Amino acid sequence: MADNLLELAPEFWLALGQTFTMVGISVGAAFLFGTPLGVLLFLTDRGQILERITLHRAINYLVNTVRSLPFVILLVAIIPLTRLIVGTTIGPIAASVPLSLAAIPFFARLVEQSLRELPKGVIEAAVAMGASPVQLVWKVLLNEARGSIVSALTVTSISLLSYSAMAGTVGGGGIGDLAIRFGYYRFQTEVMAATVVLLILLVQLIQFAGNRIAQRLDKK
Amino acid sequence: MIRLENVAKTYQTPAGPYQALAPVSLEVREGDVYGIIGYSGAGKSTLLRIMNLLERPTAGRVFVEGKDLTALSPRALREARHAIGMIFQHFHLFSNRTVAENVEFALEIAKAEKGDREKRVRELLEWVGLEDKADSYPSQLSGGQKQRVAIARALANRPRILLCDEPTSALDPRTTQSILSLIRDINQTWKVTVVIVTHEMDVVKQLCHKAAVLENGHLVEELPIRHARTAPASALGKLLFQEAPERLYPTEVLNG
Repeated sequence: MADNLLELAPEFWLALGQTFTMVGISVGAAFLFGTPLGVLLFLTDRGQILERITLHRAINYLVNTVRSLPFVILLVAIIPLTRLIVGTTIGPIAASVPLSLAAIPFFARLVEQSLRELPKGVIEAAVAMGASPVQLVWKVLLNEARGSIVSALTVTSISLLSYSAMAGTVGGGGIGDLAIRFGYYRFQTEVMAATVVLLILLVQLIQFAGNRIAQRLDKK
Repeated sequence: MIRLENVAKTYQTPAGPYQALAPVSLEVREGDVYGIIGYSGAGKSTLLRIMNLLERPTAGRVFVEGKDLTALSPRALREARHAIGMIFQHFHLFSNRTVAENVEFALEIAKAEKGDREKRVRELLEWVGLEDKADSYPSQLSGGQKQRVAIARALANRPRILLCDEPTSALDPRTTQSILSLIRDINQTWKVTVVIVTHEMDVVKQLCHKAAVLENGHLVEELPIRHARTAPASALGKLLFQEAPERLYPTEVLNG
């Protein structure tokens, strides 16, 4: 039994690397594109400084639409897009495309919520001092919400870790793929068990690190 | 200094239009401490917030130092706001910025030089008596200290006007006194025109030269406060002059 695991050690390392690639790229994309999207969602709503109801509704609708697709379906449905962007549909890089697409609106929604939780008066105080929209976003909104944005990033990373297992089975590789190929198809239960333990550890680690960073950043 | 011409505010609600402020015209003279009193929901805050256009009136014009704020471009309005300080009942400090960084914020957005900013922050914190708290975060301060930081922040760009929205309503009586004397100081030493919204009669009696009485969105009367012969007509105005003020407050406060 232990032999199986030892023999598969290189496979585990490879799978782990693939998982990190998929989660890393998609979390990066979520942060990079989801943050501005979330800020826009917040600022264009009624009563906010960049109130644009039509634009707000359009973004809102787009975010909801992507989020309403179950991930497995999104994964398969956008195969042509994946091929267009990376040239292939196999491997962790290719799997990062649907992962990113799922992660961006998810994270945008969480960012929007974080901003909604800021006391309205604090934003108003900045406006009363003559802050421009750009200054308001950089110096007030993102800075005041930084703790809860890190928490949102933690939640997003954990969701993506779980999604990446699904993406793996459709040719992305990673830990999920390993579990299915050896643990399930070859009845090597100990591989399945080892994967589960590994995932539990990873999630604990991400959550722990996320909490610590959020706590340190938040001075409320 | 501040002149409102027929400003009114109507909100569209699902139940139909709601008039928060009936057309009102008034003038705040340079160097005055101008009070706005009334019960809650009377439109006091709306009136104050119209003075820096935090609330855009649905009708009328707002002149500050001769400039019509309602006609300014967004950029020019931001520029004008640098010269109008504002403080609030709940302070509204930035919780992820230290005391010094809170004050510096006002200077940053007005694009002051880094070196000047630091000097000015030190000067202000010393003036409000919080130089030892420069590196603390707002969550580590008492209410009175928070309001002092807010005042320092509001004055950072040397505004000629200070708008105060219930500045002492969240504070205990002793702290209230210290904040009020700070505001009086700002008015007397730096010749900053002050507009103060409050529901506390004491605040008006101690601080204001003139007060507007608001009832249900209407300006019912404007009362000179330091006048012996003031004869208020409104119920609220009478309440203000009900007791002989000398009995309640030491004369130097009244004469100051």
